[in-house]
Amino acid sequence: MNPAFQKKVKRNDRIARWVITIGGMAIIFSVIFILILITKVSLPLFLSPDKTLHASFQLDRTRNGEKVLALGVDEYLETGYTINQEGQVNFFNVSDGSAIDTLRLSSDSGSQRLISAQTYGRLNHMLVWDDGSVTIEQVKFFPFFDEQNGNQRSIRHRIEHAAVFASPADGLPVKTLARANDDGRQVRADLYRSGEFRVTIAEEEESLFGAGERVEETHLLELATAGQITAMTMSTDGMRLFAGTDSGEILRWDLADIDRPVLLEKTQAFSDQREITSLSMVFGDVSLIVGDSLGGVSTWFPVRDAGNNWTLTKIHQLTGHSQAVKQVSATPHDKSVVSFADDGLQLSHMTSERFLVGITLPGQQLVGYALSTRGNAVITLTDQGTLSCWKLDIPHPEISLKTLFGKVWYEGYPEPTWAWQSSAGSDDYEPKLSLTPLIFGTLKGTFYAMFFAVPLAIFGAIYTSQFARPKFKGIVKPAVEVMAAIPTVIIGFLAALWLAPLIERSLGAMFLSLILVPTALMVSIAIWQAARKIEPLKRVERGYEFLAVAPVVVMAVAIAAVSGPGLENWLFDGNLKQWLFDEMGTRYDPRNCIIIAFAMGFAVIPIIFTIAEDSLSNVPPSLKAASLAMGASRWQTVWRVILPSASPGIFAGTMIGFGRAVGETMIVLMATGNTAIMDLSIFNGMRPLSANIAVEIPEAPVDGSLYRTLFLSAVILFVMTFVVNTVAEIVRQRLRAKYGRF
Amino acid sequence: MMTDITIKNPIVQVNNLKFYYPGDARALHGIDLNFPEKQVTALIGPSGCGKSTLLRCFNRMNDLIDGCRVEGEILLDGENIYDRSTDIIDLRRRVGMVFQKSNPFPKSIYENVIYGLRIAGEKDKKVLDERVETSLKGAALWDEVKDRLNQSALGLSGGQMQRLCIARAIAVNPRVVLMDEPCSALDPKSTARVEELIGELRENFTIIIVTHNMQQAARVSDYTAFLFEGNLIEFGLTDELFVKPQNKQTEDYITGRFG
Repeated sequence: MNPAFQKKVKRNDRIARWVITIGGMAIIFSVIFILILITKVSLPLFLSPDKTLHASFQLDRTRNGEKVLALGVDEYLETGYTINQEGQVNFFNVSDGSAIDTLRLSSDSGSQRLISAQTYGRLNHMLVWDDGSVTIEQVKFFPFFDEQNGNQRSIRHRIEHAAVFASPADGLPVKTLARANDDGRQVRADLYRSGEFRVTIAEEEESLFGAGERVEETHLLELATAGQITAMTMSTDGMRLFAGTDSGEILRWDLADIDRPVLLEKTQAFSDQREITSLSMVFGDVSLIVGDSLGGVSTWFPVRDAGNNWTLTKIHQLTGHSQAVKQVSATPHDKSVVSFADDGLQLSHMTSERFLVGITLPGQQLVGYALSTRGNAVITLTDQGTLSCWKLDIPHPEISLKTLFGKVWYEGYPEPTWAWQSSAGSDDYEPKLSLTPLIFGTLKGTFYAMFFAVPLAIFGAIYTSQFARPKFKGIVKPAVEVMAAIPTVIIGFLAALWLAPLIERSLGAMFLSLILVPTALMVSIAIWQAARKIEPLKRVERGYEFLAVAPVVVMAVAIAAVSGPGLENWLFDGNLKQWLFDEMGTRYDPRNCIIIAFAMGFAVIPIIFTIAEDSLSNVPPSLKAASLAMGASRWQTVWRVILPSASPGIFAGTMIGFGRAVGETMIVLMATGNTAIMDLSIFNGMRPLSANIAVEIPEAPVDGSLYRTLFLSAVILFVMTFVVNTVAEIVRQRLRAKYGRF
Repeated sequence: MMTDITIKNPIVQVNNLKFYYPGDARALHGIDLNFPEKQVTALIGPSGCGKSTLLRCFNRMNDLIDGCRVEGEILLDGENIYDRSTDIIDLRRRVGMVFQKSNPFPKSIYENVIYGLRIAGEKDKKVLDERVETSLKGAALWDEVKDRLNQSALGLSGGQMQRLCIARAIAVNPRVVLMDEPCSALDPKSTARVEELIGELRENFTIIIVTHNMQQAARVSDYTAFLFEGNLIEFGLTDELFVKPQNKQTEDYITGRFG
């Protein structure tokens, strides 16, 4: 050979090798890169929360007085304040403690001294004055941009007088609790030394002529408890009142009716007679936080029992303290719970039951704390007057492996369950981010699709490759491959808008045809076998029998369609769906797994068919010839020789189809109804991982819990298809080693 | 050209057989030939002369070709195998075939041998075991594989595989065994073994063998038929045909002037 040419050949060979190597590597790396990318987004879900000390200083005693009753901080961590016994609100700079200004509060009755204060919601302070009157003051911060001074931002503050409660007529109470809502409803509950528990409700009542009139009613609440009331709380709207006793009972009243407060229940919460030391409502006013004398912190809400009674039930047990809980409260932005005892301050999340952050100051006793409204910081005050500001980094408190995969008892649910419901209209919604129903949905949809597609595709491939005429195969194979090119969105909307209503209308006919079509086929085959013995039919060439089958199938379907409604009338009182619901207890959703089986099966069949057909056709003809020459029938040849030899390919095709069905998005998005339920029934839908990502990612705030959870579900989807494909490949190699030499 | 010798009690009679490939391409132009029982008959001739086509007519393997057509008749034990009443499956049980390229199934050696019995529905383990042994012994393979009957047949050597295919073919006790160039893919040593085997098989089976190799035909066969362009040119005892061919074309072919 010409040396120059030989050199050229070698060079081309080298180039080709490099290009192929680089291309292959690039594919592997990009797949790994994608996996790393989506994993990286989802990983912060599992980061543990972190706290850093932002600032710490001594509070100025002369300015703040002997006793600080309440604290607060703005969400920018710039301005903090204390409320002292003199009713002074002292604002200070959070970074160094330098004074900003002081505002003086007073009750409308002229009282100057405060007895106690309680903080709830967004910097609402319920102040109890020494004459028994109560005011609710709301501290408001708002950023201000100074146009004269180069648009410098400063935080301004203001205190709003939200509500005033006059002092009670019956003397000074021991404990007072008051709430006011936006409709002008004001409720105060007072506990007296005598053990009497009174509630005063004031409401605006509109008279017939539209003029408002203020009505006030005071009721002595029925108690009948063994112990003394030691803690109480009220919903923010003043409609529900809770009290705990020193013998471990919780009482619950409904205050909705101004004329008649009702004691709804009295529940022995703890059997060991421990004292309930503090009560509060979780953000959203559904769950009750209970702190007890043994350091336990738990959340409760009423659950309907078998007798249709609502009973407070312990839902979550959070990380407790080693000493009696002094105070529990809720964070103002999520379902976290703050508890406070002599051993420090703790922050836990209710839904995930995760312990988030604990704050202790060695050698000092905490006496007060306040959370910023955004939940990104907490300020603490000790008995020695040290004020510390802690920055909190709690990215995803509601996420734990248990909330992602396990059963969780969500607020308002009758029992623990797997649920996906990521968002709702209000902020105080408890997000339900369980991936289990989504994984279940993916597997369910895939199962039904494969159940429909695999037999059709494989039997179709066997017929086309082994029994049909080559000419027929030349038409069918490309036609089926064109099926694969149909955009899934078209299949999806046909399934959702045409097929779903059609099947819903003719459910009876569909089931009837499931019986009639195979029966008609069997009968027609038997007739054909008999008829073939007659002279003119003998000459019909083999391989065209299917032409005779088509009218049989069409006729069977037609008969089913015509007689379906009649049969439904006769057997199922005219409505199969109603019958299913009444007798079988299954609800019929118009977008259900039957639709999915058809639609997704339609998308998956071409892949399985093509790969299976190829591998069946690639079985060496010599094997087929050997089998036929031994006197095997065509079917025996297929069953004993062709199928085993083609099994690696058929298996691979099925698994690739499975992978496609798992990842399929558009069809399931449009035709499943997207209900995240866990029910195997073929008559209802599901929400698969893929459709869930497509539905929710546009609305998920970037880097939020939902966003990252969606990425996590993408990782799961990725891993699922990866595992399926890997297992498929391993099995295929084994089959090939066993059956193939080609 | 007619045959010069008459066969008494032929097992296979071919009467005026014409074969057309799709498109009416005639491959056999009216063959008349009788095959003696329990003898080896070789079909020789140059490529494309129709010897393989003729061989495949005996078990109707040509039926697999779309659009081919057969005229005339082939009688096996006096019955026309191209009659409509002929059960093709039964025919193939009576006429076994060994292919040019060995084609064992991707199954165990045991399963390969009893394939014909399996598809006939034989389930008795004793019968199967016995048949495996006799067939493999008949194919002179027993000693080599008796310890690994359950291993894949694909692990055998080329010559062993071909002998396994012979064992598979004779396991159902056919009347006739067709061999389509059974040694063309084998090395000389394996070829010698298979040729030896053919000599042994003659005692129980009628063998029709197609071969390109005239020495082989001379070595293994009792009778030889020479075909050329779809016609039977000469048929006779091998010893006579090779020593003094009656026909000029035969002589030219066997002396290597064409082919």
